[in-house]
Amino acid sequence: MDYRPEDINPETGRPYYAPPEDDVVIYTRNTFAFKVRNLSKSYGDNLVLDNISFDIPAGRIVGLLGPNGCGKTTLIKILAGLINDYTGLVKVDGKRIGIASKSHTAYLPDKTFFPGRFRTIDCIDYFQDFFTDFNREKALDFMDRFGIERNQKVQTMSKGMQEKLQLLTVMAREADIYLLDEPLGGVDPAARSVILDIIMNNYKEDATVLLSTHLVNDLETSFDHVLMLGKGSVLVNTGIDNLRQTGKSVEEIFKEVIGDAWEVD
Amino acid sequence: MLGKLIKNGFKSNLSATFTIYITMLIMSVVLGALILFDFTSFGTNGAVAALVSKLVVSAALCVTSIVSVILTLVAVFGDFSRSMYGTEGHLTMALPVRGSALLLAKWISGTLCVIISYLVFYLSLIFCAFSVLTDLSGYINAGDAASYNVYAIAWQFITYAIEASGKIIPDESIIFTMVNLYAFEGAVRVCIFVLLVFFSITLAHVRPFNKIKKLGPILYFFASFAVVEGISKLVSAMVKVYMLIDANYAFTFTLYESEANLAWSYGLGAYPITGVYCSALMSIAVFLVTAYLIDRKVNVDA
Repeated sequence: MDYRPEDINPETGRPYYAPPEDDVVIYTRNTFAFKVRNLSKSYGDNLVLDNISFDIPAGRIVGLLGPNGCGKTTLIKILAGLINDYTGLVKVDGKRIGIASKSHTAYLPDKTFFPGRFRTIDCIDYFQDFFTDFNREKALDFMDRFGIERNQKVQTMSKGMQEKLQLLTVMAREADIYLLDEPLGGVDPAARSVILDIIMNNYKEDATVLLSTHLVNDLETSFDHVLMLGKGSVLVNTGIDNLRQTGKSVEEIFKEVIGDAWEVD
Repeated sequence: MLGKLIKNGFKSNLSATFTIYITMLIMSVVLGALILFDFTSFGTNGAVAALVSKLVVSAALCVTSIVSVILTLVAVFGDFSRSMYGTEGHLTMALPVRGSALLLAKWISGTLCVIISYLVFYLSLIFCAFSVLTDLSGYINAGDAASYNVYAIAWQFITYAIEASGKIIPDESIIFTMVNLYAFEGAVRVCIFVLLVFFSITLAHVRPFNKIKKLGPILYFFASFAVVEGISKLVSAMVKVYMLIDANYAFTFTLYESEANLAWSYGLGAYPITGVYCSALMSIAVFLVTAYLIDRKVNVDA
């Protein structure tokens, strides 16, 4: 099989995504939701991601954990195709970042992204225009559940309501990958369980959900897999079952692994 | 997908200028009523009041049309910056479309909105000029149909301008063709201008060019504009191609400036095509570079 030069790892002389030679597992294209090799990204002199490599199996709910400034948002933005000047190899659902990966990826940023002039129904129309996997009926049902009026302008909504609107449009997609950046960050504790319920009960079966959060305690029972970042590196990348074998909670392990950085948080 | 992007671009740009266009429409209706209505039946005071009202509304319409152009430019470039690299970029840049499609859609919708604002501006000026001219020429009475012959007034302006430049007035069809060619050239220049601004805004979001914060896009615009214009001037000086137009709308091309000058003295039209089309060709290169930057180099950092 011929490989493109950029797919070859200069250290091993083998493709980045090839399995170890002694590994008997035969990898199919979509075994892994995310394949990252030697990924580095810096902002000026500040190296945020330092040559990290990891694989995340498909069909998991992945908790992306780490202290502030550890590169969670940067990693999610790279996976969503919003940051382009990185080095390394990144594949989402077996595809390099581009049109193919974006069409299967539902991205929820930690910012409000709908134009203020949009009415809520315009937001629905916009998603329907551009995403073939968007379920309009589901979105309208969510709007009713959240009590969002269909003709209300985005600029007249509170920040919390805008975040709910974004969440419902993103979760109304039947995507293979969901990238959710701090979905519970700006909402009150009462709304958290509703939002969590929306997320956990509405992603497509077999889809992968990558969810970054600081609220480890609230979410640790929901995760199948945990990816912890700190000081530009991957500190933990494992299934939740492996973590539970230690007899500790995810939050306890998080505090142990992150150490001093947790105090900063 | 491109059609949907263009539709959204239009909606975004027009939403910012809709109110001012409605205001201008109302002003135009009022001005039209003032021109058409015969105020002399109200005596001298009525006629003077109508005259003053016409002047005030004309002046307001002129000022508003200038504001509409500025507002359109701010809306088009502001929308590009905000929707591509601002917080709305989290939505736009995550769409499953190529950077070239995003750029093309913004370019088409932005250019058309700017051209519309220019057309509205010129139409407003012509309308105001017509309003004033009818007064200056003594056609205060609305019953005189000659006072509404805008075409005749415009034609007079053009012939005066040609005579003033010492050239023989060519056939009407040649002038008509030349006006269309220069109007098309104006549209091409608007296209290039809009694209260069988009390029400058994009470059200002690419490392290391993002180090200059707010002034970056302005500096990059003037630099890229100087490069494009400089090269087109250089090429124009080296390769002079003129389109010669006769009264039967027949075109011939010449590489000789003397022949072009001679054409004018024989009452033909001569249109230099090198400069603007050289700029247009370079704008294709600018488009490809900008699309590459969007796809490979730009970060949504907002």
